[in-house]
Amino acid sequence: MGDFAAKLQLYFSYPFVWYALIVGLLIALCSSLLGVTLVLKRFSYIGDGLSHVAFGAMAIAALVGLTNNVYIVMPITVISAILLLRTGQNAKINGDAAIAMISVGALALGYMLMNLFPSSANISGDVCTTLFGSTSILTLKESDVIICIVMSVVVIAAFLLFYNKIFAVTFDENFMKATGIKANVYNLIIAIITALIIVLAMNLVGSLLISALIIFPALSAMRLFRSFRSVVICSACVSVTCAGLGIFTSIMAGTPVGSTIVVTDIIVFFLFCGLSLIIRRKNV
Amino acid sequence: MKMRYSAAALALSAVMLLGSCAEDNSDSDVINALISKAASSASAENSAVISSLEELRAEKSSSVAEAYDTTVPADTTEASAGDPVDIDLTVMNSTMIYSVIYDIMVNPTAYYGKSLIVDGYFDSMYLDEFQSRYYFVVVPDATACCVQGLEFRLPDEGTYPDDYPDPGTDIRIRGVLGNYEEAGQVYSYIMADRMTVLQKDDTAQ
Repeated sequence: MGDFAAKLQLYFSYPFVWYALIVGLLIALCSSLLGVTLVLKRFSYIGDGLSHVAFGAMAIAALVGLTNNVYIVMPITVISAILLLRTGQNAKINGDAAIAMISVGALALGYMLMNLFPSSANISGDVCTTLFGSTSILTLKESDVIICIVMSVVVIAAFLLFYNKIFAVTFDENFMKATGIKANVYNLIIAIITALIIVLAMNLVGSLLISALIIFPALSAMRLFRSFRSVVICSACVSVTCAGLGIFTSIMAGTPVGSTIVVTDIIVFFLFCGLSLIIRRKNV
Repeated sequence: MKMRYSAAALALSAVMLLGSCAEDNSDSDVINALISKAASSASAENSAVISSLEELRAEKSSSVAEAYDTTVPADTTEASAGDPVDIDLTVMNSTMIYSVIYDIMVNPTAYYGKSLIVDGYFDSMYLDEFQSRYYFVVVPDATACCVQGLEFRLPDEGTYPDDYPDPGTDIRIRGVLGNYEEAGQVYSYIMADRMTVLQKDDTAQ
């Protein structure tokens, strides 16, 4: 126990561990807020699609030689999110097909660019880092943390500000349109927030595992709660707790950060499934 | 051209993360070899002893530098054995070791003058441009997809390969972090006072 405490004290004496914890918790909070809406709108897979787009954009940024790839990754991901969420219903190619097409297309393009124009000798390392996050979250600089805090504040403020409209567009878009509210504007806001979260979360879990961060907390909360508000609050609590536990475990046990967070999310999901079964049986 | 070579000198000590690894140059083969070494060493966690002391003593000439300590330590927490250091990476797990070394590379001024101990595997590279050989202790991350290395210099550099272990041999470096300037660039390195060859089981992972 003394060793554990000493190790804990040693690890947390490094600023980058605190940065990881702050950024991790903020990303988890943001992703869980929007996760409920995306799951209910049957857009669970958009996180996956957009993260692959971000992967392709990262390869382009590396090709161009940008040191801060956010300037390329962010706009490309936002535009893709708008295209997928706004035009999904009216386009000739349906929503899920469009997501699949953009997803695999961007992934293939990104990998090809990384191989054709390698920014380093370690292509597999670069790909692994981008796809699985690797230890990116533990290698953040102070400026990265500030960017993350600003973006998180924007996301949380937008969600709180447009809470009622997001609620309406989530459950009955047609009714919203019938009452004269421009549903497309709010779909656009959701698309932009989703893209922001994806780009932020790539640092935490990598592009392949982002969907888990969006979906699992929302699904876990839906096992126990029924109202939109309670599901959102529970989802946020679950997501933040799992991210905190995951980061803490990976720091102490030396496991990869992204996958540890996702495994924690999965365990909580099954716990909530069990709890839901017990509660239902009691109520019968 | 000179700049490219100076970047290559840092290749092994640069972080192989987020595309900030070594630049593609004439030494890229060495770097690629390092990467494959990292992958293979990580996949064989419980493999047999990489090099025994007996083999090493037999292979190496009698001109082994004094600083090249071939005694395998009985414990892995050398720093706790009465000779304290500021940063003991041997008691940390692989995720933290990787992260601390990354932090040392991107934020070196915070670490200059501090003593440290680090476990990793040995490698070296030679640059014709400077007619110098550079020695590194290389550490892979938890997923074993990325490696990063810290350059070190022994007080008596000796000659390569006679006075050094084979590339890929697990070593422990103990020393103080310093810096030097070459071709207008400042590089961090460990002013090592001791290099110890480790057996696989002795590395703190």
